[in-house]
Amino acid sequence: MQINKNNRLRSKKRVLIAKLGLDGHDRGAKIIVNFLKESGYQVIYSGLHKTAEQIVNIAIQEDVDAIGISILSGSHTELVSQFFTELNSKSLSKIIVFIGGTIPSYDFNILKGLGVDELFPTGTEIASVLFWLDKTLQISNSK
Amino acid sequence: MVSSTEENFNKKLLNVSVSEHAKIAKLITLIENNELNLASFVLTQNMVNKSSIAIGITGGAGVGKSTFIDKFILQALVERKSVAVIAIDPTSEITYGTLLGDRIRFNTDYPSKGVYIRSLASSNSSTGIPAGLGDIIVFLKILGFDIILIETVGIGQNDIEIHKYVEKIITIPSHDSDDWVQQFKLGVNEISDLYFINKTDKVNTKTTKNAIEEYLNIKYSNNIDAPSVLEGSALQNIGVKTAYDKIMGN
Repeated sequence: MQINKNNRLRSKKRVLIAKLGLDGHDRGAKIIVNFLKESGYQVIYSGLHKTAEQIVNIAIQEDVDAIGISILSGSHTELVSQFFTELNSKSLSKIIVFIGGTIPSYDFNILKGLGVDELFPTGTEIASVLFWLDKTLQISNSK
Repeated sequence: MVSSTEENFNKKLLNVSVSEHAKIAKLITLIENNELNLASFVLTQNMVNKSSIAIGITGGAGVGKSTFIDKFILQALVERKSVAVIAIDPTSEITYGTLLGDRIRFNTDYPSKGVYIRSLASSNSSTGIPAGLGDIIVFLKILGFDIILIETVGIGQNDIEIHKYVEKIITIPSHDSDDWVQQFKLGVNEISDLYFINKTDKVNTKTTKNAIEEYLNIKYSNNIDAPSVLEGSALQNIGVKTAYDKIMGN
């Protein structure tokens, strides 16, 4: 792994990785947690089986810059809709939200319509998550 | 002279209650990043809630600090106390990244808005204490939290910096330091107010208890001020009430 000036810049940024809903598959979430940590980010992991309300409360208390949600249950449309209802009711609608997991491409537009900023379905190259997050959080790419 | 930034900060502070988590979170970030400096905040000392108590929870990696805190919070809520938790996790000296993982152990549905939990990266500190911790504790006292719990990073033989920041220390001992010479060497033995020997549901805690008591017996002789040595299981909420009552002076 390449360690450069960006690691220092990322070390001020806080990212919440959360498991929304009842699926217990968190290998993907753990891979992202470790990858972002080793890239320099402060990464908060929610643990399994969180509700929309719990995740939003954690995001508020932790003052995070972005929320990454992992879902492999297939219930992403309902869960993400609940999540944004909660997020908007707490006036956090400007926060960056990205989603990973088993999300079929035909649901992308629905999820983006709900407010999701980016989607990383199974098979995603992990570096592309970092590239997107850096760009979105305005981490400079200069060495 | 009080700058206008500081005046604004005064006003902001005075209007924040312990249940306003979003405002608290933003202000802690500013203090953490050294964008607001409480040291020059003239009213600080007068504004501190005198009955607030800051308690350090320390011990090695994996001894059960977060799980203990989870149950300690429930005990505090029985007495209708407000609680703030600062859970510190280690920042990598190689990549500068931090996994803030204590949240996994905390129940996210405490039946009160008077519980605020914040994870903090140890940042580039060699002591495991982030630079802003002192100011963050003062800030939480100004807000009026009754109990402020500071969970340290997992400690080794000589990590005792936390005692400069808190009124009381609860140590959760490792079961691997269970002979007398290990106990005599441990830095944390010079700062502990209470020991909670954890995981009675999993391991035999007797040798650990004996080793700590042998040390205390020699250090304190018959002194009644010697720290209490309690046993229990934070996971099963056994013994945490006793620890709470002891440390809070109930």
